[in-house]
Amino acid sequence: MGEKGEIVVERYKERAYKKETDSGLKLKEYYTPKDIQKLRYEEINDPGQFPFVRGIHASMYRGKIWTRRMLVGFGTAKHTNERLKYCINLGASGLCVVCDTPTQLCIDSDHPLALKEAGLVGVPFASMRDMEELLDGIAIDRVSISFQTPGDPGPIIFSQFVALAQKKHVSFQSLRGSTTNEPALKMFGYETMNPMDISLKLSTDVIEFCIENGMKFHPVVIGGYVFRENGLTAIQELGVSMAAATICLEESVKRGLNIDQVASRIAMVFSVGSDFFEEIAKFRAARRMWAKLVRETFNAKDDLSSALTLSAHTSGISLAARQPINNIIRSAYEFLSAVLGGCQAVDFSSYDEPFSTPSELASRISLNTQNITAYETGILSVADPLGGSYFVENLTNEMEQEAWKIYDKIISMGGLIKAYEKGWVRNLIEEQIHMRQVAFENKGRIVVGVNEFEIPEEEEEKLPIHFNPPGATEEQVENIKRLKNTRSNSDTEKALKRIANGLEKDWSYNLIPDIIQAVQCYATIGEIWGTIRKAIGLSYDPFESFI
Amino acid sequence: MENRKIRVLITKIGLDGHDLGAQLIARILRDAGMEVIYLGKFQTPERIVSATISESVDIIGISVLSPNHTLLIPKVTELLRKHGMNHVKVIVGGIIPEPFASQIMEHGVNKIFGHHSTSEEIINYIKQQSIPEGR
Repeated sequence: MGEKGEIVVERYKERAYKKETDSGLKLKEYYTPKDIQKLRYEEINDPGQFPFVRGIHASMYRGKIWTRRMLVGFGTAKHTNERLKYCINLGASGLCVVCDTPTQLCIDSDHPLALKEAGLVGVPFASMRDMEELLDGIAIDRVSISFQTPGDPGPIIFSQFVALAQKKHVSFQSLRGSTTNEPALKMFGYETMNPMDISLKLSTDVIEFCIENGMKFHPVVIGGYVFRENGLTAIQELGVSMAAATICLEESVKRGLNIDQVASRIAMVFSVGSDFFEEIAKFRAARRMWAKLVRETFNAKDDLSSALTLSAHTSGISLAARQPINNIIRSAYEFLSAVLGGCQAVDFSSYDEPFSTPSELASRISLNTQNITAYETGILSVADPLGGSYFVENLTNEMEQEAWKIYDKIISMGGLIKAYEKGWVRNLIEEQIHMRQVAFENKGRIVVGVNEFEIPEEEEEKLPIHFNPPGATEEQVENIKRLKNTRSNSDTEKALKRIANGLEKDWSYNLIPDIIQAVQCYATIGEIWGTIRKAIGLSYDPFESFI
Repeated sequence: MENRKIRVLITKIGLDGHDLGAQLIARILRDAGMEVIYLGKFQTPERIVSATISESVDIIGISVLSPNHTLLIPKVTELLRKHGMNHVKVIVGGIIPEPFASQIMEHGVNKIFGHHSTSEEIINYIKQQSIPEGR
């Protein structure tokens, strides 16, 4: 037998099963009624019933297909607007926009550090002009829009969106979607130069504003996705997400807000990794954890406020740069976990994620993965089809138990912010990411086409990737400079002054109405945050010492 | 002098905040016995070169996951030349698709490590870059 024959024989004898889930839970050969004999049906209940393990709606996807989204953001607002319309034509039933790095850090496109960065990995939201151009020709009263704006830009972008609604005579109540607006992300890679207390105050201002105005819009989305993509396991993602949500809930209660109103407006976005059943169980466990948290810890009265709105983003960290077409398959399985787990909205890390922001083709494939699943597989006709599975119910229970242990540990340290200050978060991330790399290098973690089943370099697939429109960054920088020269600067200054005055009042004074007025006068994100920083005794320019 | 450890500066450049790779590499190189100076996020070419000089660094490792690479990295190599630091090697890790990879190599980057590079490859490469005599 030749050499190739030997390989086939070896392959024939291979075993690919795992003794543990990706989070490290032991797996048995099979599961029986004994594994769930203590489980009472009320602990899972029907879909639409407390504790919502089986989904937050009785009819689930018969009532409404999950919101099909695709992340967009590059170049100027006009470039992103074109891509949003392209996605709508391909079946997107909601929009998902990501901001660029200067916006993330709350500086303007014409800041010295932003000159070569504006519009590179997201779209700039420097002023309301960007918001206007971004959503030009899009019916904002009828389309759900998710603004992926980690950390501090959230309240400003929210204000731009609300100001746009006012300008278009659209009622606040008809706005749907979310802003990330999640201060905890600042501890997981989305650091800004602004202190946590002011971030938390502004985030709570947005929650309060939404409640006072009877908005359906989600003012906060807890960023499990970001925690997870920092290398955390699915169980750690659950525990940390509940701890992050606790920060928002506690702060809102301190503000005197009604827990039922707050809890019903908070959503979560989770990553979906490659361990198929573990991910399904995670979504189911998340809903039960949330239901218990808001009812038992925060004394919510209304069942509906303990129904957790969940969205999912297929994992970026699970994708590979080698044989990237394989990523289409990876994302499809991950997506299937999200749907079997009962998520309300899904967006994708597309197959070209290891190279660039999504190309048109990658966006199309991502949306079509969702369209094919919705219209061809029949998978959405029955709610929670895995409910009652000995294995899945047992896994859901185990994940919940383990995740509470992490939650309790964080709370015992004084909460997530204190845990971060003590270095616990940093150590956890460093440990996890190191373990992940070691497992990859010693083949404990197989990535097809990368450390197994490789092909010669010259046979590697060459994909068309997205290149930013030439000159877009320079165009954006010019746009913002022109805006600052053409708007009524005296109005802008007066509006900014009101924000500074507002901060001198009680800390619970809600700044959002003043910020809305300022964005209406085309005050920029850098100016608004600069004003806020100065009012609390910091340098106007967050990067003063970096230049 | 023989026992002098290789001194590596690990840094992010520009405003991209994805620093897991940089942190991981810093740890791997430390574990391999090198002296690692970790500069962190939001660094400008000027700050990187200034730290290179003050820390007597042998190798600069820049982690990049944003298309800002072609705009910012050539500035680093240019400043190194300007300060007579031609002996300092510049390696880049992250996502650098063509034609950008070739472009930054032309600007004096010595090596690019990608998504699939292993710890061993990176450590071996750095160890092979001998410390110039008289330092």
